[in-house]
Amino acid sequence: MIRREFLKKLGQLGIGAYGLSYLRFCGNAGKTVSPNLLSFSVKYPQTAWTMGVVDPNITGTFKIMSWESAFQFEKWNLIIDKFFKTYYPKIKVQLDWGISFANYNMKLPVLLAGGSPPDLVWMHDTRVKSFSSIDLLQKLDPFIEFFKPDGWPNEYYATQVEEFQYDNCQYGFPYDYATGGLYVNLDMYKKIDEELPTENWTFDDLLRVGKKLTKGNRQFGLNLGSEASAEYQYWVLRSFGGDWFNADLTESKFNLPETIEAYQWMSDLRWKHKVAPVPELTQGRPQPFVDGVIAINFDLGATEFSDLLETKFNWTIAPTPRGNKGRFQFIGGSALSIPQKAAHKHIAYELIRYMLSNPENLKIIGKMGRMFVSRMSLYEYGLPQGKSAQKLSNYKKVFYDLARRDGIAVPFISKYQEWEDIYRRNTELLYFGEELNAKKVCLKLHDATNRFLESANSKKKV
Amino acid sequence: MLNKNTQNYIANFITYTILIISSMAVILPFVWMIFSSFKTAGEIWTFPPVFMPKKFQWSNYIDAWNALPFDRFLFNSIFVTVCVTVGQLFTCSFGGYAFARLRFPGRDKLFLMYLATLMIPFPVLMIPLFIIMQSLGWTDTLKSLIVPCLFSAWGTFLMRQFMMGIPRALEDAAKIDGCSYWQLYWKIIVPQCKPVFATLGIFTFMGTWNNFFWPLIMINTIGKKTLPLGLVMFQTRIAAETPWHLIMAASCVTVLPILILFVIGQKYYVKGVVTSGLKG
Amino acid sequence: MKNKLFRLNYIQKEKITGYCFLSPNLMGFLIFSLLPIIASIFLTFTSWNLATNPKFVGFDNFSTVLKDELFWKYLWNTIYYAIGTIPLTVILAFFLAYLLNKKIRGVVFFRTLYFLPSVTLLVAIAIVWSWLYNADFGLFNYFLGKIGITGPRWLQSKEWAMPAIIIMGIWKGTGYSMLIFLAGLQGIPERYYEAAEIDGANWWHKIVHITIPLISPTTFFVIVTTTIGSIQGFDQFYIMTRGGPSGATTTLVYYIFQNAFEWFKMGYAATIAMMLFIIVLILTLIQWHFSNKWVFDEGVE
Repeated sequence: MIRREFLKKLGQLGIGAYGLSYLRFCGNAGKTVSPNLLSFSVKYPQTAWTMGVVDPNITGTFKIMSWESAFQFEKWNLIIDKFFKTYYPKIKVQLDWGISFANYNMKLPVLLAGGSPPDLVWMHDTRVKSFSSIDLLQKLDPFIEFFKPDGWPNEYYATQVEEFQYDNCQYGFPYDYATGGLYVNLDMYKKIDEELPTENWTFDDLLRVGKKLTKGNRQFGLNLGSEASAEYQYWVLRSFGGDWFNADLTESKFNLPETIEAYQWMSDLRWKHKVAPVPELTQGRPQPFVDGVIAINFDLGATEFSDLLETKFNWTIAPTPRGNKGRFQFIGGSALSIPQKAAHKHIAYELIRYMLSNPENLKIIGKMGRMFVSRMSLYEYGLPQGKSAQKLSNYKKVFYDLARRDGIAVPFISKYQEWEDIYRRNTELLYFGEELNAKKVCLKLHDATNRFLESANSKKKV
Repeated sequence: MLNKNTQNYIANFITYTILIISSMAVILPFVWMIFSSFKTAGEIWTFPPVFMPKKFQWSNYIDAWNALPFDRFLFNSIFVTVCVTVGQLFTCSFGGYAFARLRFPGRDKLFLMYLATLMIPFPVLMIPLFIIMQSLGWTDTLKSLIVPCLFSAWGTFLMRQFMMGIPRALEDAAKIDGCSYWQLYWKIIVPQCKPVFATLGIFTFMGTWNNFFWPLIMINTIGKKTLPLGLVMFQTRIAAETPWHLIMAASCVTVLPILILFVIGQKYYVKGVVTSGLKG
Repeated sequence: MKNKLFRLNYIQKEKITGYCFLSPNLMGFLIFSLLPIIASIFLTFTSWNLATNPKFVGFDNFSTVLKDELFWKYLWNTIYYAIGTIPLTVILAFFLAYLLNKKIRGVVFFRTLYFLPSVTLLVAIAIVWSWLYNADFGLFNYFLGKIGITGPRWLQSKEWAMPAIIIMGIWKGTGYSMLIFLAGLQGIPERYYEAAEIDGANWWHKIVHITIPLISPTTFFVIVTTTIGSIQGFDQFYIMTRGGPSGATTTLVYYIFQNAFEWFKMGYAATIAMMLFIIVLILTLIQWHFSNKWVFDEGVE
């Protein structure tokens, strides 16, 4: 019996793409469930954290997939365990974590394509629109409307909430946010007789100090805007008055003189003034700063404090500078989402709400994580504790107050990954010093971006 | 003209000189990796780079082992790898024998098809293969890592090429004596093929042991993960937070079983028994 | 009577035995290799974003791929990498196998040393290599500096990133091929060499007239598989340079990966794979064709 069915399925697969499409749905019996078909009839007693739509004695497997690593998943595990023990004791939970970010982003599409994806997935702001624009994720709005989370959305970072929307619908519930600041080596700084950077410093002030702090190729004064990822550069060009796209994301703004100026400034830092370290040293790691090679280093909040505490020099943090067109601060972060074809959407939402709006749980996540949780009123649980707390009197100001005031959302378009490839292929030349003229690079990127946006938008209309 | 001993002496001297110098260059990155596994997290990235750790951190190995259920990963890896290796030695040598020695209709076309499948890049096959596994209900099982890997076009190709090189004279003699094909395979071909069995064994073991992408897609629970999947469990989204010293230590340990197998496999790198029997 | 019916002649028996020997292998081959391949061939005629059903688009993907500048650029990168690695790997591997086939002391030790690079996991060893290639403090530029050459910024340079990965590829791949050659060399009966020695052949004659012809099936295997292996290489580019700088180390398999899993263009990814397949197939058929001339088949003798 089973074998016959198996052979039948194989036969269908043999037919090719059509067989393929059939099988994708066989696990889920039916076409995509449209959001308004979600049932919200209350049949069971409601609790503070369950809607009463799903039988508390339901059996089955609830699948969760996360990119969090060995030492980071513990906090989630605690809360997930508690939730299911309390509300759905008969459900078996399948936890798939520790896949690492890059691999996670490859595995998730395969599972989504296969048609029986996990019930709850981790989602990054750079990716959420590419998934939601092709309907692979469940809209959270009907759930939010029916069973409102505490403090939503006013108590959450507006930029964060916005990043996880597509077409004005919410596709992810943010759980943390990261923002950038300057790490300053005070021992080096002492020798140059200058004030510490403040949020009112300009980029040129920083450059002036950076030059003083540089000594050949053994000590670099200022590392800023040299991250390989596009999203870490966006705030710099906004400060200069430039941008990537126009407001409705249909045209490139890479030909703006301000945009070009910003890229030229970042490139000159390394290749003209030789103030910033060579690229080999700055590919996503704070080690050169920890080793005392860089005097002022741009990095995300809370990155590797444990390492920094063991350093032999004094250090502090300072805000990023302001540009001619105002002050902007980088904000990024992650969320939880529910795949469109998930089997247990109601439970998934209840779990999200339980984890991310329940202050008790958010406190645990904040304390055990390294970043602020997305619910603003609970910021204090994301502050560094113990030894680092004393050293970092201005932590709250740099990473909380200023981020709230000046944080900007990066314009992640729905095909961001594909566009970022174009971006990287062009700007990499500047960062690796293969090309020193930012104008040349930006104009080329301008044409390529326009061509890309045009073809992406024309397809959407069809 | 030099006598034979002197000639041998000179030849050996040259051989050793070449071997020693080039092997030093070849293993340098590897030695560096071993030293790195004893460094602190910071020392691995320290600028400028250092070759030797300041102090050997033996605890890296213990920390890595204790951080995750590596005993479980090790068991899964060994189980999967042994099953696949043994299975492939059978299926590939059978297949290779058929392609190399037996004449049947469609043989060369089939063989070309085998070769052709080697040329399709795996990324495009991953989703269809995943869907097959899903329809079999095999996702998140060790079965899904074993069964599809029991048949290898590469191994069959390897076996065929080697069997083609074995002199036919022996089989002809045996055929006249009335040996069946099975007996020919078992008594004449297999003993001659010891080196290639060892080679395929080592390669399959290594390939399965280090296989990453396929288990990544198929396995969803911690208890069913294999060693390479265990290694990346240390990697964090922000590269800087990754404990590279633990990854280095764990990778050094992961290499060991393959090396042991390699050294054992060397025993089989001897001339086929039958051939050397003919000599006397 | 009955017996006669079932008594097969020699040729029929060989045919049936052939299928029997092949069948366990063939079954797996059909289900786990051929079926996914057929599915992906069908995908080449569709547009599929992983979410909705695949849409039939005829030959659209093929006409797009022929006009795709990136495809041609990355095809060139793929060929560049293949040409850079294959000849050197094969020659070095043969040379090493030849040396390590001698009866000398410590031969197992040396074999192990040369095999080591193939065994190591790329995730860990990539860190070491990125240090070796460091422009200011790396070993490569240190030695180049000794002979008065200012070394390039290897992995950050459009010109030198690919050679850097080629060097690493040769380092990692030679051990594999060496082992296969070694197994092949072991299969050559000693008596041939002895006979040649009686005829007064020197070592060079023995290599040219005995070793190379007798090992040719192995050589054919090594050449075909290293060709396929180098063209399908992915990890080294993904981990070392992420295809950069400026696409200088992006190969077609990397491009397939991007299209399939990052941009959700499964149909297009399958099309690029098919193009790559056709190219490799042609190369292999050429090798196959010539192999009939130079591969010495003991069986046919």
